Amino acid sequence: MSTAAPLRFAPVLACYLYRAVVGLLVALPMAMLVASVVGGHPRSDAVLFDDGGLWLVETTRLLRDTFPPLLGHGGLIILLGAFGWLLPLGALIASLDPDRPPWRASMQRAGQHFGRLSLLMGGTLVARGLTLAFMVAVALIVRGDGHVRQTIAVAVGASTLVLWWLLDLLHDAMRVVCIRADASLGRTILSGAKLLLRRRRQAVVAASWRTAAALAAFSAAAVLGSHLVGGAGSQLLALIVVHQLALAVHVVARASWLRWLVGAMIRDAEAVSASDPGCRASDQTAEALSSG
Amino acid sequence: MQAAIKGSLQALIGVALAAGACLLAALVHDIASTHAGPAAQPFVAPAEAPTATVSYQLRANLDVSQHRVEGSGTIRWTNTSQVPQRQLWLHLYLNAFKNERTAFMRSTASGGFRGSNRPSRWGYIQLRSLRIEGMQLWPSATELSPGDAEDETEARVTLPKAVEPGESIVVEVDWVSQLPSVVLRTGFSGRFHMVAQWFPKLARLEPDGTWAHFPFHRLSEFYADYGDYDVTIETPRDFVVGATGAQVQETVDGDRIARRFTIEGVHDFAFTAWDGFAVATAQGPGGVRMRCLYPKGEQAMAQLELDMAAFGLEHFGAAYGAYPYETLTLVHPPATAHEAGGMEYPTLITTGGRWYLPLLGMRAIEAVTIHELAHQWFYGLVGSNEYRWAFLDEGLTTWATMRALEERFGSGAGFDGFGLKVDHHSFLRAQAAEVWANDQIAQPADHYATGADYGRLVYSRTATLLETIGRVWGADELALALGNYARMHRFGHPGPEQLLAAVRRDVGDAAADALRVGLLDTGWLDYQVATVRHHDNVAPKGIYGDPEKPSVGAKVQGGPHRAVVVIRRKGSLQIPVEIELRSDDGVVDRRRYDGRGSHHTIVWTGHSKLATVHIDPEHAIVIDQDLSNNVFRRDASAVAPRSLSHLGFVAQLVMGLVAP
Repeated sequence: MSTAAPLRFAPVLACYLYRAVVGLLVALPMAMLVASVVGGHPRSDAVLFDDGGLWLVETTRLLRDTFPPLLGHGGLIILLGAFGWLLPLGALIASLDPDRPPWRASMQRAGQHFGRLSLLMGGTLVARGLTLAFMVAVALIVRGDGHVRQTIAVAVGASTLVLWWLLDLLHDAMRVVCIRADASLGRTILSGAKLLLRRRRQAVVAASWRTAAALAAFSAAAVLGSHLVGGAGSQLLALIVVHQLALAVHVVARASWLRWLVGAMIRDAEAVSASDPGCRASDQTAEALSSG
Repeated sequence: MQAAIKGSLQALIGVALAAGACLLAALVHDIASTHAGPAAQPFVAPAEAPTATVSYQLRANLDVSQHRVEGSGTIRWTNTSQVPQRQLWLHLYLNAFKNERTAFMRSTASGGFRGSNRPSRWGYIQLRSLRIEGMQLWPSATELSPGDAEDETEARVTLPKAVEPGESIVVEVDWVSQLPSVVLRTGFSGRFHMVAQWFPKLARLEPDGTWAHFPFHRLSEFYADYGDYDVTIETPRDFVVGATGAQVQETVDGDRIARRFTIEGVHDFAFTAWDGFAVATAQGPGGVRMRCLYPKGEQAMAQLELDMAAFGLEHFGAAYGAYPYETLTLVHPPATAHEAGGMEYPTLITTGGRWYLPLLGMRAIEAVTIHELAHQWFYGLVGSNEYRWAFLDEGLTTWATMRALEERFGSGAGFDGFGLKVDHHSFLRAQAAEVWANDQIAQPADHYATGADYGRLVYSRTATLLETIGRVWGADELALALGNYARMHRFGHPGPEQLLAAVRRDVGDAAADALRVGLLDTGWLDYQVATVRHHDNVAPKGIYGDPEKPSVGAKVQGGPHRAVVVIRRKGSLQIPVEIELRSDDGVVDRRRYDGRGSHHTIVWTGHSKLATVHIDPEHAIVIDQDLSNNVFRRDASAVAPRSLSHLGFVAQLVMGLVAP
């Protein structure tokens, strides 16, 4: 029985670099603006993180007119970056084929499916918005005293996050199907859902620990970062490394999860192939995914 | 499978434990950094309780379906001035919410401060009868808001005969108060009622025989004589009532209940009634009976507020004289009536804030509780004219709040979350800087151009100015001055001169002069590093002495590097400042500029080049207009590296959420 190819360094590195560059594009203009206020301070922007927050609040005050447009600019970069992200991510999925296609071929495959991947992402974002609206409506409708309202608010918040997470799992499954099977959009969605549902418990477990690992990395980076932020020299270097390590863990966890999905899809295809040896290889995947 | 689930759960629990550990560490740090209580100070003895100038004996019958109070009772008033009086002035402040043409509603200075502009349902107070010695003076001898045909928030009553100095009269009143929907801290929302400015209230007669009366302005608060109150409040039996004073009697009659509250030595009376209240009680310092009325299910907030009140009673009692009353009632209005929150009445304060704010690191609930409690001193026990000198209550209260919160929570007194600690004065300083030259602080409440000006000048700029004075001329001295001011004028009605005299006596002339300029003029200050020029410290070129036999020019004493630094002072405040100069080899040189003149030039020499200049490195002068021009670095960075890393990290988090 074949399975997904091992994670390869180049596609994962490309994903990491892409995210890092997008983050840099968002952050750099803001960091330059911040330097216009505290760049002349003997401790540079370390002073922003001093206890008491005097310089933090002062910098916010002085930049209150110039910072918001940059936030809008940053939001736009993130939005565009989110769609651009579909190329390295698609190439990563393609690179997990047991045939170990070269990097260029993987990128070409991702490019061929860029439109459909974009539609899937747009649809997922809409579904998230609808989920949020529904949950907020539930929270507003339910009446009760303070304790009940607090419980509902916490439950709604947690439920929304869980539903979003499940939507993301489905989204990933659809992405994998999209890259690996030349199916219609409707069939891609249906097949993605079936891929997940067929191994729902294993999928939830596989995705959970990887999500937990990424969350732990981000949390640890946030906590460590808050301790390293006041220093200079090696501490400053450590701060950057910690932040970048968290991003790297996130990218590797994503790649590992996608590999699990690719492996699951291959196993499904092989199961169909075994039951119908005359079936063409290109049909096996779609057949496997739509059966069942 | 089970092992995988177990692994996932363990990972999640690990993350939760890590977060919990961080919170615990922050808590331990907070506790460890909390200062000890204020040191004993040689304060003056506080003034004794005053002889009542006015005594109210009132009965209020609350109709909770019509949101209406039927009121009746007597007002005994004594002429404590040196001048016979032929008239009385009453304040009928609920009429501010009667229509769109009242002095209150006509105000154009509504933006940016204190609640909504108009109620959704109008309210009013209607006198039905006003008798003195059996003679009916309403409406024949009573004129509403003389000089303003549209306003009805004042009433001038012409007396049948003069009341001589020291003589007393009894006024019998009947009236009805229709509450508005909650607006500016009074009114109703559903079955919740906050009943303030609800009875005909005498204005204050000054010792010189003039009445300190004024319409209810949009940004104004109140001013009245100290007196005794005996008020019986009748409501449906299932309603919880909180009021100024102590409950001394309770009478049940069918489905109605009458509760009688009494108190001496206060200058206002307010109450709240709601059948949705839960009640929490606690004993405060000195045996004060504390009671918190809060929406059912919000126990955590109630406990937090009671804790803060207990701390505040002790802290403020030590700083400004002991709290003299038996009771303290805290009222947390329901979310639908949040505009009723954040207000002070004698022995009753209204708080506010949502349950999730502490989870986000925001200390809004703590701050509003401490602020309104501090008003029990600067408003309650020191009864300055809130209309004429709003900074004397709001400004001093804001400063006292800041000191109390920082004693309790250290540098995270304003915000403590996400690895950041922001103290209260950093926020106040930023607000104060926004209105640096807009107007003077000390002016009547209706003279401010906007609500934002009022809020930032009166609250933030006053507190920031006081904080600067404390940091420059002595925090202990300033605390002593304000403590003595509060004690000397307990149950009194001081003005700005009394405050300035206290500061002059206990802190010094320079501090008092700066405070006067800051309060009574549009005082401001901005220090800046104007220029820094680097030179080699070599002998000056040119011909020195006899041209036939020239000598070598004398170079400045010191190392081979020289810099000329010009420090500029802008503004009318003269406050001395420290300047720190640091060279590349780490040597630090401290200079002092006395704050006089428009600039100060420093000629510096060292064994390596001058690297940085920092005006006011200890941040003593928090009133400084712009901190960014207080610093100079020869190799100033074009990019803020820590911000770059942090913002990039946050961008990753956002992108992870949008496009995982």
